[in-house]
Amino acid sequence: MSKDKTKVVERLQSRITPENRIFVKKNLAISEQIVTILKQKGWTQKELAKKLGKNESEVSKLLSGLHNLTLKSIAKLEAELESDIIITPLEACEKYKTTEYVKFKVYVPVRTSVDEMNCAYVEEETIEYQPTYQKMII
Amino acid sequence: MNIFVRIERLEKFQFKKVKYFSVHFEENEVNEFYDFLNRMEDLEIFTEELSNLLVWIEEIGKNYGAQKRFFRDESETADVRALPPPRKQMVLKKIEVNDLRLYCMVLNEHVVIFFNGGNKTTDKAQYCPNVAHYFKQANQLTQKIDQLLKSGEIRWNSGFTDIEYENNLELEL
Repeated sequence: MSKDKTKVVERLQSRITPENRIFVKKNLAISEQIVTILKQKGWTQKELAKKLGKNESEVSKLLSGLHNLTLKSIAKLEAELESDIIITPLEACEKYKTTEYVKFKVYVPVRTSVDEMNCAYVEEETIEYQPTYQKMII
Repeated sequence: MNIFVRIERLEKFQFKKVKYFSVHFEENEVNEFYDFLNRMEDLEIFTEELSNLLVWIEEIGKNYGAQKRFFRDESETADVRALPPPRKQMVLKKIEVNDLRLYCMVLNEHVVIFFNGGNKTTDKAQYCPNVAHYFKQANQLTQKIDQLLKSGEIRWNSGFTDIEYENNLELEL
């Protein structure tokens, strides 16, 4: 029996495994991270290729989101970029545990009466939203 | 003999950030992208690659947009780009998954046209018995579509996120 050529997408989509989805999503996320670091450093792909001892074409393959990146090549990239590309959830917890949080006081304009357009700046935490008080978008 | 081809919107591949299209040869049952998928579907060596490719197309379409880095240049007339063209010339691109090649044209970050492709077995696409024909065809199609963009027969929508053209628009190869 000949196959229905118009249904090829449905047939192929039914073969997609969770592993395929994870592979592509992580691959693209890694590519995005590398490009972000390059931007921060002001490096071009050509410069990265030179530092890695690869040609530009190989680097563009690494950034395509479809290349099977090895841990070794990621380690090499992290070493050259002097920056993390991937970080595990445990490492992330450790890293961000020491993050300092700064508290801001926020003052928002509120209408002081329903009839008048008078406006007062009030610390957001202290606002009691009574019927006569309304948040005013400026 | 002239072959007539029309541009076909891939209805199953319309995403927030990228709209995908293909080309349909008048004598064929399906468009070139579907033909590529049908032919590769039977090759067991590419089961994994095809699954990854479909997920990738969807992810790019939903979350990233067709950014330059996701596609690689593949132009037979690459040296043409060294000359100063009157206006930016579109070049043929390829999607590479191991030895699998899918030729395409990236109009901008929001519009991509898929052609055909196959299992590339030689260093140069021009000499590969599997892809040489599709490679040459994709080059011709790229040039024709570029001309249609220049002539205004294919137009951009106001946000440059999609293209518009008459339903009966045909290219002649």
